[in-house]
Amino acid sequence: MKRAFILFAFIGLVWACQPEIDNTRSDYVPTPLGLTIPPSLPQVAFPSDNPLTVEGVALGRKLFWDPILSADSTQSCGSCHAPQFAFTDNGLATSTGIRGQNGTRNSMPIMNLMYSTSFFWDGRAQTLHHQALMPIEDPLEMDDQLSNVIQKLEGSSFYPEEFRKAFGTTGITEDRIGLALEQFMLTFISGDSKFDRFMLGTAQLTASEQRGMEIFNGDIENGSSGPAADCFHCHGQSVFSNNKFMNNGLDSALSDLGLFLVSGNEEDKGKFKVPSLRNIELSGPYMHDGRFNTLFEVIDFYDSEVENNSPNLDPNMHGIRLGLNLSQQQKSDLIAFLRTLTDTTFVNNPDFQSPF
Amino acid sequence: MKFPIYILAVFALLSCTREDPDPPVDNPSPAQLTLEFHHEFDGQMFGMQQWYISDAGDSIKLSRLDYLLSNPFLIKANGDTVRAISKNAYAFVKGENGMGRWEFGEILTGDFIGIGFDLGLEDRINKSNPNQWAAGHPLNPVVNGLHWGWADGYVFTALEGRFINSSGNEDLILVHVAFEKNRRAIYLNNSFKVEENSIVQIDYAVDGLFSSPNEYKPERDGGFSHSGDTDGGLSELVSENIAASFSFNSIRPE
Ligand code: HEC
Ligand code: HEC
Repeated sequence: MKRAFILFAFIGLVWACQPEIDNTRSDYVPTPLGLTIPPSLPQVAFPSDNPLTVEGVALGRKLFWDPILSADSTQSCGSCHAPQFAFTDNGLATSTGIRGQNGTRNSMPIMNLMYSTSFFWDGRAQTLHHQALMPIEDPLEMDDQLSNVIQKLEGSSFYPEEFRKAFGTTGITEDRIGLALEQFMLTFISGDSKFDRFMLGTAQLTASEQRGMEIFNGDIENGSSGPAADCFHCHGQSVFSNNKFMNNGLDSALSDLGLFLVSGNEEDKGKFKVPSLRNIELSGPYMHDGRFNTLFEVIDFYDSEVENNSPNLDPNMHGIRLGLNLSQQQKSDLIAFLRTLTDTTFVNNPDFQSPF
Repeated sequence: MKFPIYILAVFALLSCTREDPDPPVDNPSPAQLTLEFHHEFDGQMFGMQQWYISDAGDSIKLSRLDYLLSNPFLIKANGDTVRAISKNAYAFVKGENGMGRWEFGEILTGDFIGIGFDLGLEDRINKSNPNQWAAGHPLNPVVNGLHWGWADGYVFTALEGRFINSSGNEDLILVHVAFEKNRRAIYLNNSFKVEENSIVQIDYAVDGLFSSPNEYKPERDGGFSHSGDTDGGLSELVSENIAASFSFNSIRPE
């Protein structure tokens, strides 16, 4: 493992400095917000159809944390995407909606979404601003109507002004709600874990973490010796996800068809979005249905419980499906490495917490 | 294979002049040149997630056929090598859509006798920081999904799919071609004239991956390699076949 190649220090989010602008003038433009990608993450373009602005992000933050987006004003986005749980649902296997309706899926972490090209476990949203509107109308979640939410926002004492600051005019539309939420969520960049600092040469891994990293990144090869677990083929690059949809062999009979529900293609049955493993220590339970409570259960699954007969099992499971045969120590090492992906600066960032 | 292909050893290229010192005689003007890769199986457009029968009689279905190319050059009629590919020194081509493009950018018009590139990347680039590449660059790991980990660099070709084994069941194919031993110099020895912005069509015979020059039967030769030293030479066998599967088809105005 080479780690000497990264020269820069982590800079974090850089909020662009702009002179005060009188936002009541007709030529008012919101203040551009420059985000810096941490040097341990790949470079990426932000959506060109929704340039980030200070005011847009501030509005998105209010919307994200405001239960006004749900039918009975009991649930905000943040209710199911809590910072201490890496923006997942408070340790719950599956989420429940405003009246306790049972969802079937595990809440997903909100981080580094600029790398994603589609959203949800089954990829049913193509852009983040479309995604952001879906929970509002989802009968198992916030169960409101967007037209009704718009009326509520129009009647508020501060939202019309916030929308004007963000978009130049007071009009509140579905589009603008989605755009503001997208802007806020795109600022959720996690790239300051121990692993990142190790990559930059400013932190050391323990012997156990180091061994775990070698297992995680190790190639399974016919006849080769030494523990290797092929994890990085799917949870790869420093994003720890290839952002593809794949079947990792959880079930031989599928109860949730995943990507197939969206594409209708036979070969997409059982495929789910490959989750990033950043902050994985905080985001349990695991998998699309939250079936595993602990990382030990996850490792045991990959070690010996992969269903070889699962439809459309990904070829990258070729080596793993035959059994990893990891020792107890090697499993602990792997988990020790996964825990180096925890980024407390990210989850504690005051800019992401509720403004209310 | 419709056209002959010659794979030159790397050392032969080292003797080529790096720059183009003589101003060409017939007043050349600049033109844009783009390579277009057409993926074919037995001469028909190749589709992912479809069953094909290889020459060796195996049923094969691919779900991934992504590859990285580098080090492009053209050989002029007078024997000079043109390495001044202004736009993209690298290409990432996906197996999907049966086609991929590589924009060479501006070259001087004239007569050429060959075109070449490498499958894969030289070590210096291969092992460099993947996060240095701009958004959208072929070597950006998010763009190609082929970065292999910090010690090992990139996968040069990810060949993934399924085959039917002798007991009639589906089994997996995964051959990740990587490392310097699998970097292959590809040279297409064909004459063509560039007079204006042009597209060179290069055919990539996916059937050749399983037949030429080496017969590859996944059940017999193994369906699994990460290019390690214990794969019985499988990755080398496959990379040799990949390199031999490119052929020059034609050139047309853009
Ligand atoms: C009732 C709990 C709940 C609420 C409220 C909720 N979410 Fe979610 N969120 C989930 C669940 C569960 C999933 C996964 C659903 C699926 O894949 O079908 C999810 C997925 C997501 C994703 C996809 C992440 C990815 O990597 O693809 C994003 C983004 C997101 N939610 C944002 C929001 C926003 C914005 C709101 C408020 C408008 C919101 N959520 C409200 C539970 C909730
Ligand atoms: C073939 C690709 C692939 C490989 C190889 C792979 N994973 Fe996964 N991983 C996935 C997919 C897909 C999911 C989500 C599956 C689902 O929920 O249906 C997942 C889920 C997970 C989760 C749960 C994440 C969450 O947010 O719920 C963890 C942890 C995990 N993998 C760790 C590993 C480890 C450790 C390895 C190596 C032993 C590994 N993975 C190998 C594709 C892969």
